[in-house]
Amino acid sequence: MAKDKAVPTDKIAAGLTWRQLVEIEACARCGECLVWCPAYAQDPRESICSRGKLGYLKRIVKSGLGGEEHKEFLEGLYECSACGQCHIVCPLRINTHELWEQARAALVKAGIPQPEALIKHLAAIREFNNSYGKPQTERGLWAGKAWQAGLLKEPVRLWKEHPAPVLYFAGCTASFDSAMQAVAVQSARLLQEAGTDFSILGPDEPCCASKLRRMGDPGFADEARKRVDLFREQGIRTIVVSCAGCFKGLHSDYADILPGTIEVLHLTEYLDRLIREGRLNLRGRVPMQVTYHDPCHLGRHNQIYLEPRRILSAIQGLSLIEMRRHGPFSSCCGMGGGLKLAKPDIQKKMSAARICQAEETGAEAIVTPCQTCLMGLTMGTEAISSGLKVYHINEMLVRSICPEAGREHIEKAFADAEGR
Amino acid sequence: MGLVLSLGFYAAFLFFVVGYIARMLAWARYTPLRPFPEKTLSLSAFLSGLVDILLLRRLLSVNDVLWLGEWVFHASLLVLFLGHLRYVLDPVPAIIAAMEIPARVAAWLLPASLFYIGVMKIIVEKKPYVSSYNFMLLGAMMVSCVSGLLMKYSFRADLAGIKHFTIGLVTFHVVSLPGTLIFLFHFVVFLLLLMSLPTHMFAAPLTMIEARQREDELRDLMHEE
Repeated sequence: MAKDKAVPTDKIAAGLTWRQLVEIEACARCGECLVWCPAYAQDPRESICSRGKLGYLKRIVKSGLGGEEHKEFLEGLYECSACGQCHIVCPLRINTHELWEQARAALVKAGIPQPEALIKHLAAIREFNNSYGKPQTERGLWAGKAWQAGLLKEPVRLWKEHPAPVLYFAGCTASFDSAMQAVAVQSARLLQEAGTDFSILGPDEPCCASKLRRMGDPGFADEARKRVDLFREQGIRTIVVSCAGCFKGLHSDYADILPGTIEVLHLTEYLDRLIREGRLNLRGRVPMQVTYHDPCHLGRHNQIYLEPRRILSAIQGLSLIEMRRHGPFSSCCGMGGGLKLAKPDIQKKMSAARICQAEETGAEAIVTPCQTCLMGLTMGTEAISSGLKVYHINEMLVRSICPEAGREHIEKAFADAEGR
Repeated sequence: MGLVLSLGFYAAFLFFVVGYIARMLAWARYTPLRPFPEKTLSLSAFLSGLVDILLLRRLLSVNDVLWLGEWVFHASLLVLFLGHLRYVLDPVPAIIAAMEIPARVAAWLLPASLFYIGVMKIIVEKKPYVSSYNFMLLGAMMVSCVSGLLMKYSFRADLAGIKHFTIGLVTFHVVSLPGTLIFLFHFVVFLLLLMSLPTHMFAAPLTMIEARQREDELRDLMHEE
C-alpha cells in the first residue's frame, strides 16, 4: 500500500520515549490482549486491540503507514478507554495505556488532532476550568444547598476561610452534574461523621486536568504544574479525592511531574483508615447482597483493591459477591480515555456487558467508588433495561451511619430547592 | 557449497545484527538517547523481573493452559541452544557437554510444545493470527525441529563433518559441507530463523524488568503496604 505523505511518521515517532520505542518492539503478538480487551469484545477488529495498535506503531516508527491503515490506527487509538487491561494481561508487561496516551499526544504534536468531540471537551476544560463548561462560581454550590436542606451536620467551610488539615476535592462531575452531586454531599457528610476537620476550595477548585493527559493533550504537564502551584500556594498538605479519575490525576499523573509534593488519598483509602481507627461508627445494618466494580483508575492503575472491599465488609448485614472478572481483571465500563466521547455506542455496549457480568452474581446491586463509573454503569443498566441497582460506595456507608443523607433524599432535596 | 552456505551464514548474521543497529540509529534520529530504564533500576526490581522472565509469571497468572506450552517451548529452546553450542566450541566446556541428555529431551519437547500452543491458540481459544509472519515463524521452527530429529534418529548425520564445518564458520575458515542433505536443509531453515528472529526476544526482558521498577515506584507512592 502506498504511504501517505501527509502522515508525519518521523514526528509521531519523535513524540515517544526510548522506553516506549523498545516497548513497541516487545510485542510478541501472542494475542492475549484481544481475549481480555473490553472494547475489542464489542468491536472485534485487529486495529482495536493492543496487538493491532502496537503493530501499527511499529510500522509507523519503521517505515510509515498507508493512508487507509493510518485511519484504522487512529480509530483504534481512540476507540479505547485506556483501561489498562491489556497491560495487566500482557505476558511481556508492555505499559500499553501510557503508550496510547503518549501516542495520542505525539499525534497531536505532529498535527493530527483528536476526534472532534474530544477537542471540544478539552477546550471546555481549558476555557472554564471544568469539563462541564459551567461557571466556576457554581462549583461549590452543592455544599450550601446540602447544608440548607439539613443533609450535613455542619456547613462545609471554604479553604480560604478555614485552611483545614484535609482538603476534600470533589471533582467536576460531583460538583456540576446534578445526578452525581450526592457523591460530594455524602463524602462531606461521612467526613463530618468521623469528625474530620476538612474544607473545600469551592469556586477555586480547579479541574484536575487529567483528561488532558488521557486524551493526549500535550499541554497537560503545564496545566498540572499550575495546579500543583495552586495547592502549594494555599499550603495544602493532604487532599482527599472522591473521583477515581481525579485521584489518578492528582496522585499519579502529578507525581510524575512533581513527586512527593502533596499527600493525595482516595476517599476509600481515607474512609477505610477512619473505620479501622474506630472514628467512623457503622452502626446500622444494611441487609444487601452487592457486587463491587473496580474503577480502572483506582484498581489497575493504582492498585487500590483492598480498601473498598474492607469498607464493604465492615458494614453489618452487607455481603459482597465478586464478579467473574474483578480486581485486576475487572472489565472497564468504558467511561475513561475519552471513549465515551469518541465512540458512545461502544461505551454503552461495554457498560452493558459489565452489568451482565454483575447480574450473573445474583447480587441486587453493583457498588463502585467512582462517580464516573457510577454514570457509566447506570447507562449500562438503561441500555439493557436491567433491574440491577447501581450505587456509589458512599451510599452503603450512609445507609449504615446516617440514612437521612441517602441518595434519594439528597436528590429530592436538591430538586425541591431548584423547583424541579 | 560450503562457501555458499558459509557466506549465507555471515549474511544472515549481519542481517540480524545490522537490523537492530539500524533500528537504534533510527530511534536516535527521532528522539535523544535516554538510559533504559529511565530511572535507576533497583536490585529488587531487577531480580523480580528476572524471575518473571524465567517463569513467564504474568502469563501463568493470566492463562495457565497456554503458559504450560509457552514455558516448555522457551525452556526447550534455551536448552537446545545451549546443547547446540557443542558444535561451535572446541574443546566443549563440561557444562555444555552435560546438556546433551537435557537437549535430547528438549528436542522432542520443543515440537510438542509448538503443536500444543498452535492447537490451544487456534482451535481451543480461537485467537486469530494476524500475519503470515507468525505462521512462517512457527512453521520454520517446526521444520527445524523435525529435520533435527530426523538427523538424529533416521538419517544418521556425519557429526564429525558437521562440527568441522560449524567450527570453520565461527573461526572464519571455510570448509566443505558434510555430504548430508538433511543437514543442508536443517541449516538453511536455521538461517531463515536467524534472519527473522522476533524483536521481542530482546525487547521483552527490558519491558518486564521495567514493569517491576514501575510497580516498586508506585508502591513507594502509595500510602500503606
